[in-house]
Amino acid sequence: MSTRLAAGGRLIERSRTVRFRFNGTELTGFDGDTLASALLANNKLLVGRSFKYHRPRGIVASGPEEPNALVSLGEGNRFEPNRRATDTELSEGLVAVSQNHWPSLEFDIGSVADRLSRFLPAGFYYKTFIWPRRGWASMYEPAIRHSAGLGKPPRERDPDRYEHCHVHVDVLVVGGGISGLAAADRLSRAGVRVLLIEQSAHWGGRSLNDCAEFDGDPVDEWVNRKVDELQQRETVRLLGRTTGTGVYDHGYALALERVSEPEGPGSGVRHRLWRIRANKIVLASGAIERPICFAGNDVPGVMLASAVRDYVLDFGVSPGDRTVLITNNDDAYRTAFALVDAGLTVPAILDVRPVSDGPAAKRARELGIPIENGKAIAAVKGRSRVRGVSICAHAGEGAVLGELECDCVAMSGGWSPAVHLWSHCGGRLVWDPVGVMFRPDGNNPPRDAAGRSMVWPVGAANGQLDAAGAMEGAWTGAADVLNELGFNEMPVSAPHIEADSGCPVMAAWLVPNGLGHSGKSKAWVDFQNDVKVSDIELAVREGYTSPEHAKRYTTLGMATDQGKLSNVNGLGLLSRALNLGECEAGTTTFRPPYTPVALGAIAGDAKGDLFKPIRKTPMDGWHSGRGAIWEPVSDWRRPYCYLSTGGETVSEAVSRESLAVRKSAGILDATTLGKILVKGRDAGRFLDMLYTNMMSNLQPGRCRYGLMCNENGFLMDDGVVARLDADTFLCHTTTGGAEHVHAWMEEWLQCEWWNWRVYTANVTEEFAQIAVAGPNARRILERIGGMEVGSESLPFMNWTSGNLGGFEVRIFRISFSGEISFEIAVGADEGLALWKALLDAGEGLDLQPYGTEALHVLRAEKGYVMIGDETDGTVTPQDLGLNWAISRKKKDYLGKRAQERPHLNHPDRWKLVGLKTVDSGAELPSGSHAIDSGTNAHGHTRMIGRVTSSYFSPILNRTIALALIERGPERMDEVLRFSTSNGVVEARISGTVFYDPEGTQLNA
Amino acid sequence: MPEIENSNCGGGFHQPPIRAMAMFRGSLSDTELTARLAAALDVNLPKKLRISVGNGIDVAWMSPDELLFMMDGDGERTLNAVGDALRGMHHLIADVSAMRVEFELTGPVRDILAKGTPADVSPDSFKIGDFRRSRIGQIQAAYWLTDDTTARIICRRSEAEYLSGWLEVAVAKGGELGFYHR
Repeated sequence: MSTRLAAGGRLIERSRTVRFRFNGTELTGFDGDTLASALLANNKLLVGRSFKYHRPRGIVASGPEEPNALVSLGEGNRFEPNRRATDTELSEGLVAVSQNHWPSLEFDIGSVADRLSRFLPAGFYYKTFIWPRRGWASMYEPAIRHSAGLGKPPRERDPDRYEHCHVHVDVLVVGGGISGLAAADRLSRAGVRVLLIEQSAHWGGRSLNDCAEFDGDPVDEWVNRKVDELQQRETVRLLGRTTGTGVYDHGYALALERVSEPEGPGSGVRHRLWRIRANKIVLASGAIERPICFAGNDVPGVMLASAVRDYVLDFGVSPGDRTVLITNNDDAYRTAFALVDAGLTVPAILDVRPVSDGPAAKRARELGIPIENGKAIAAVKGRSRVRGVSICAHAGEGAVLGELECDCVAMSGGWSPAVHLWSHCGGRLVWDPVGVMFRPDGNNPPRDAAGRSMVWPVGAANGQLDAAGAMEGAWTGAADVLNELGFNEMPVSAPHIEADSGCPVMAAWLVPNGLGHSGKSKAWVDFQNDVKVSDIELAVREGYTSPEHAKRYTTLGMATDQGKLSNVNGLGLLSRALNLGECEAGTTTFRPPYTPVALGAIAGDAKGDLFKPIRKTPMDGWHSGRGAIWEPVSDWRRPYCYLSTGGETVSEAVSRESLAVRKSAGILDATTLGKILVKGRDAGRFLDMLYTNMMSNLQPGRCRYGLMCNENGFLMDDGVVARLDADTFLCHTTTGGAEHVHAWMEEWLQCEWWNWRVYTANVTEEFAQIAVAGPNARRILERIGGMEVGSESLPFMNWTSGNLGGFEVRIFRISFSGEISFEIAVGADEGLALWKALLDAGEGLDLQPYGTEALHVLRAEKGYVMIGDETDGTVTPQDLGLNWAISRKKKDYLGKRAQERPHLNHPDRWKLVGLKTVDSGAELPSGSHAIDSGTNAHGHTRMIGRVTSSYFSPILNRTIALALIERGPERMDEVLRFSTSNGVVEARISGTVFYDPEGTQLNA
Repeated sequence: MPEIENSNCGGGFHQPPIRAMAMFRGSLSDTELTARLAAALDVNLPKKLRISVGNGIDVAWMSPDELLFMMDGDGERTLNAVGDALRGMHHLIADVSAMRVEFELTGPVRDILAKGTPADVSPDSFKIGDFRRSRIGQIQAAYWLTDDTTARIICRRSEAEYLSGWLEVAVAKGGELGFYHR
């Protein structure tokens, strides 16, 4: 029976009752309770079912290391699975339900798995892959998925607010116990900027339950005084409820602050993810107590010794009337004292050590607590709660010597420093045989960019488990950090603490030492993932002898608790099974996060409208209002087409828009095209190297289409270059290529041709650019007036500048549609006004805005290539038949030498051709492969090409396509077969220009 | 675009009157060039990672060979003056007045910036007159302090809507940080 004691409880406020619900039952606790302490106070010992065998499980720990007490919190859109009851603060109206059972926690059908456990050993999951062959998908997988697992994923969108915060400090101190407080104190006194974080809501760590006095004061007074002092100090920031979750390269660390549990929308931030850049990190993360592996150690009521005394001292909760203590160390004796002080009974201390004669044992004897040295637990009686234990000799195989009635077992297998953050970025561990623990290896710390130590472990995290040692370690550790940072300090003295003396801990991986197989099958190592001692031995027998293999085979330490309680016991047992020395088998690797981080916290503000920045042109709002269907083009969004009112379909809209350009006029928002200024004495020479064709001989006022290849000779980008004056060119790039091409230019200028006199400027965003195309385009510009746009004054591939109806513009007479076309650039702030002015001028001339799909149709009808459609990073300009745009006169350009390689000149290369489907209306999706007869070297159907673009052309009333085909231009008029998801489609090879091959429209 | 008066968390933002901007590229290690440029602009050129405030003009250090001029008025006079002063010297100057959008952020500005920028905005490392080109949220931005509780931010025109939305969330009540501003 667990219950609330009449008095005591350092952290609770008995005058304030808090109501909450657990599995539908209304319960009460006190302000300051955790969900776990409140459940224990209500005698709710059974809180969940285990992962694999559905065994009844109770609360084991009192902090974030808890493996069992995982519950689902909240309802609806605030539902959250797998929350630890032990570090969930109780709040009014909290709703919690237990997990992994059906139909109820008390009666769970799935617990049949426990009876069948001998058929479900370690590696069972992997073995299901092997036999029967068909069993996996149809039988095992659905059954395992249904029965295993912990909480269920939330179904609704998380409504809460999360944010990130970047801070830079000299030193991050992780852990607000006495070591962290002392280190932060010494560092900040010397002027170091310190951020001190503590995972719990309280400062002082274990010291408040486990220590007596500091500097002659009661320990709580010392802690309060230190916290006050630090809070006053300008150089220090303290964050409670903040867990250090990861340490990364260069002193980067992540910490999760649980700011509030918001009640409704519009309230505060729920979690804040601190992204900390620290020069040094002091790790004062304390230590975690280990369970002991004995038969029945998972029965509800078996708890860590430290947790038992925490519940008594912190929350005034008795986990049981009669608690048997089993230990291999002196520290656990504190639990017996706390229980006896609270008026509870400790029938026996089972100390597996042959002798214990330190001050702790002496005090126990004075209090009349029986100590049974060399004794252990043979078995735990009870299934869903402890009813008693049978006692045996630790040295033997478990022959029962006697029985004790009890309703709680407190176990302590020693302490493991919480070295996780030390290990995240490469810190090594050493085995300490005296302390029976892995501790940070000071000779192999995580190192920063300069190769210097980045993390300083202090206190219990460094294996200094006694308060005096911890304080001394924190104090000297802080001095080392100051020295490393080059800070001087006034002489200060360390807080004084009486040193403890005691009897050393003794390794006890299996209790009793000779426990047989049936006992090992009930002795749990990993509670959360249901791994038993017998599973580790099975893994060894089956050859999984390295810790990393054994871990994966048994799933030891792979649950949401990442083996906080199980790892070291597992490694101890593995070494034992391999007949190696203590923990000689080595360790596995700790990886972030230390405790799970909510996905919402990782996303931060990147949700809803802020999920991803979308670049918008000045005309974006207008497009929106005119029924634009959007297409993402790099980070921009562009209208794909505009749907007219009256139920127009997308394909109808695309047809209407493309026909308007062919027959009257269309207007396109081309703002997103990249625009890069290239200026300087060597600008022409520079562009001659960048483009495959000649640019230096371009005359001011003229434009030229150019191709840009990478150094492997493959086509990278294309666009029109305009020469603005003798020294200045304006290079247009594709929408997606603007940033890359600019970076490419700068790379060559800064790294290779640093002495060429060229500057570049990416001015993409300075201009809105509007294309007006079609037979009526010129009339529209003339209606606005102010500039000469006739074919004499502004011929094809020329540009001019001037004032067009009050707008200062540059007009480029270039075309991507094959129609007469003007691209008008205006300051981006005037883009929308010019757009509207052009539309007004088009009144009565059937001027229609068109989107990217009509643009594609129009360019494909003319056989113009599109970077990213006709190219994929393996296509050369020669493949696309663009030899006319490759200068033979130039000595060099980027990609020239690569293009001379035999493979890029092979006659069998796939080359660009046009395709006309034999059935003019057939669909021929881009990506479809051309199939040849016969097979290739691998016995596969021979492919001789693929469709790169395919559209229905409204003006030609047929399907047209561009394709890369093996020896394509040599196969003119040949009919090829293409494999599509709707069967084989036949198409005839044609030239690439489907519409107006003479260019009469263009030059009109 | 929304403007937010200083909210309960103490932060607010708005778009100040539009200024002309010009991009300048030239070697800032060329003393002859910098002397002529400073004279033409009538301002001390900023050192690395700094911004200079002159009479009706701010000059920001963008890179070892790039400056940004932010000018009251249309800026054409300044562009011409620079062109005249640097005649015959290798440089590039371009009017980029429409390329970026400027925001003014008020309140606990270091705390608000810290929510989005990985650069160090602590008082020791980011002083009035310091200029940072970094990120805010998921976009590139540059920012500087004009006093202890006022910052200016510039970003691409196409991403101004994102930044405005980001600022709206960052200054909203309930997100008080109390880290750099206690």
